[in-house]
Amino acid sequence: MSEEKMNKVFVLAHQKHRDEIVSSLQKFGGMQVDNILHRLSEEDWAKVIKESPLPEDLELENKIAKLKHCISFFNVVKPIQKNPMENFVDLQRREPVPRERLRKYIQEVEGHLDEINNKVRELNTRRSDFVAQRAVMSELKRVMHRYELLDVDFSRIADTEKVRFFFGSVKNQDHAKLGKPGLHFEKLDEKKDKLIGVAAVLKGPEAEKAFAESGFTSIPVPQTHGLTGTPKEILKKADEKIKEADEGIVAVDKESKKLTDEWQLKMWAVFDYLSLSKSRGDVLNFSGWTDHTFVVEGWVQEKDSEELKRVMSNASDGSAHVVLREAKEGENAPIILRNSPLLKPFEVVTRTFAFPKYKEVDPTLVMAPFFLVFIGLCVTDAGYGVTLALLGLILRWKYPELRGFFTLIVFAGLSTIVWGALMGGWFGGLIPVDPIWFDSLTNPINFLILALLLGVLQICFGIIVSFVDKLRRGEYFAAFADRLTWLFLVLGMFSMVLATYDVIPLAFKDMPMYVAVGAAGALVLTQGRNQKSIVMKFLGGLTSLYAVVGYLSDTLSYARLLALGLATSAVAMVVNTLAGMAYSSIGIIGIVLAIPVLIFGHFANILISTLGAYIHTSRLQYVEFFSKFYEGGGRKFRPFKIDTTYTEIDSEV
Amino acid sequence: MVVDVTLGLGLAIAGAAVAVALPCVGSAIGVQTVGGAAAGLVTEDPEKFGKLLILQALPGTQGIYGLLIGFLILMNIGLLGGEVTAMSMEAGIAFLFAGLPIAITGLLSGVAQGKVAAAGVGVIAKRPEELGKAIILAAMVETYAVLGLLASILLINGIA
Repeated sequence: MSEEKMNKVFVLAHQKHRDEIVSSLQKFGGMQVDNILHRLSEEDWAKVIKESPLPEDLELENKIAKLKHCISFFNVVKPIQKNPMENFVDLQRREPVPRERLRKYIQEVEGHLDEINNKVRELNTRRSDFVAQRAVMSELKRVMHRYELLDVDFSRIADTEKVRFFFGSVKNQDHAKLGKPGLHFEKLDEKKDKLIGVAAVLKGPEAEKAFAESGFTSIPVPQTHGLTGTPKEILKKADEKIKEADEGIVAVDKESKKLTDEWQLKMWAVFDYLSLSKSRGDVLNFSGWTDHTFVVEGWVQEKDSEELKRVMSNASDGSAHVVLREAKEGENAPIILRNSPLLKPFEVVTRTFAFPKYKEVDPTLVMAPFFLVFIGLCVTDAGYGVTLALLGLILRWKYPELRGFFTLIVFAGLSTIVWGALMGGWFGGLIPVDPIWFDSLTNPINFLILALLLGVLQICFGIIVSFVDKLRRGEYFAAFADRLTWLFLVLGMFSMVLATYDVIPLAFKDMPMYVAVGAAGALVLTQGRNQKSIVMKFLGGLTSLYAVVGYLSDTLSYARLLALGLATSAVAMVVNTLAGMAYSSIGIIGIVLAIPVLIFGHFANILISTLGAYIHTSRLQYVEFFSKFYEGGGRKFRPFKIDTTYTEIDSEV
Repeated sequence: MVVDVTLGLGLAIAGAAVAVALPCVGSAIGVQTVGGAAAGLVTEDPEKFGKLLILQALPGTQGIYGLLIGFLILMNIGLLGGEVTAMSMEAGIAFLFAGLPIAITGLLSGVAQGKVAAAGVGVIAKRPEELGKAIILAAMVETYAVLGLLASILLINGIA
């Protein structure tokens, strides 16, 4: 197994040492703390331990919440510089704060926390009020522009005791109808065949009937948000309000920046400090308590166990008791992967899928060579391979935290160089070098056969790994009946296909068929063994043969290697053709056009191809390979340690 | 360099065109569906981006398979390296139909796989450690695209 050996650990100490113990554990940073209170469901444990009697530190939680509120405000005003790589990995650089300064910050922040918190709230509200004001006024302006030429104060169009007023339009030819008794029309504007104005209607049945017959169309009076006057005046007032809002926003932003500059770093540091304090409290809450002692349960690496004993002894004047034992069967110990430096870059592929369970086989070792070969096959251009390798080396040097991932890119580049030299081109034929083995573009069938062969190889390898794994676990019958049989069946069927192409020597021509039939027979006999009746056993065995379709589908899936490899070469050729056109059409000046086309085109092609290569190669590993023998579902080792978000500080001052 | 195009050749080209176009459309729609779901998750959990990218790539397979068949057809009619020979109308129709299995299965399974992969994004939202199961669920749909691919390959090989 490529996993570190883990020990289960219980630390038992007197309550008077609790702060020392927990604080030392945090500084030690090598023990994962689990919640022992899960054991309260077991009778013998429930007799001995109980929950922590310590009260919840509400004040601490309160402070942390307020700090969080202020910090999220500050982080918007002055965002933390983010590296584009952080899309994939956590890279944040932490600002170190030495002890003396931290003490000062803690005092200052404690003294002013409520004040700053309220100020942040006030600034937020003020700003959103101004933004809302601006939005409302802008919308008002947009509406009011339509009425700009009208000289009417809408607020004065109000109904009286006897008269109702309407703002709207009437057709030219119907104008006369508004001259009837009880009606009056004041024209404000003329548009094409309509007259726009205000109609006055005497309250009463005849006037209202005449009004309805006039064909007058009401236009709803726009909402003016408290501004009065004619549309022109309203527009002017709205502009003033917008200016006021803009100035208000600028002022708020200035104040916010000043506040942020003064308090952001201080609050970061205090937040981290209090968070560390809180996590120490959490450990005590996860511990089991007796009248005078407490016990912490967890995991520690075997190689750190002695140091843990020493640290606990120092923290408790020698009185603490540390119990260590190996993980029991079924206990899901946390995982630290241990692979040689050559294999480490490939761990990211395994990790993205799932961590292995403790004592499950770590697939990284068996997956790596296939991954390496396949990713090279997907790109299949030696020039691109050189570019990738160089790029990987440079990025590796620039971002040492991500060296694992970039080393993988270097490996991918090297593999691509090999396959590109064998079967592909150099920058799509820009550098005319003939492939050493065969040209994939003129002989794609060869490429396809190679891809399928490698696919069958990996699938069979997956079955073998599962076979060995079952043997190791002592499941001998299952190993032979479930795995060896399938291996022979797949190999047998594969050889039968080869036989049709006359690859098998005549003397052995019928052997593949016998092997396949024999394996199938063995499967029919054994796969139904968990069923009740003889008939069900037989049927169970028969239906298990259906899985052949699955193996066929798996094999064909590897055809994508051909597609991806060819696609890259084809696009590279197109880029070269385009650049060639630019060059040959306008003579020497064409070079100025051709070179950016080449650089940009090939660079884009490399990016897309490599991304597709990584993803599809990973996918082949996950779906076609891992499914044969790997389950995963383990959890990563997460030790209790000094874990801060923004700054680098000591856990105690 | 203009190729002398007969009706037969034209039909065969149509076969290649359909074999590439429809699965790519299916993949595009499938990848779009997952992308939309993934974008939603990124607003809450940007660290899951790497896993989401893998899920988004899954419905992309059909387009690749379609391209593969397109290549095979073009090769067999001599348009991709090699010489263009006269082709009867019957042969052209044969190539047209040979492109259909991957065309239709690619289109529909690409869209379908997109929906399953998008549901997988939901799995990652709650349980990021179960990426494997989400991938396998989506990959199940792909089996049928593979069968379409196989049919097209066998048909083309049979004609040529």
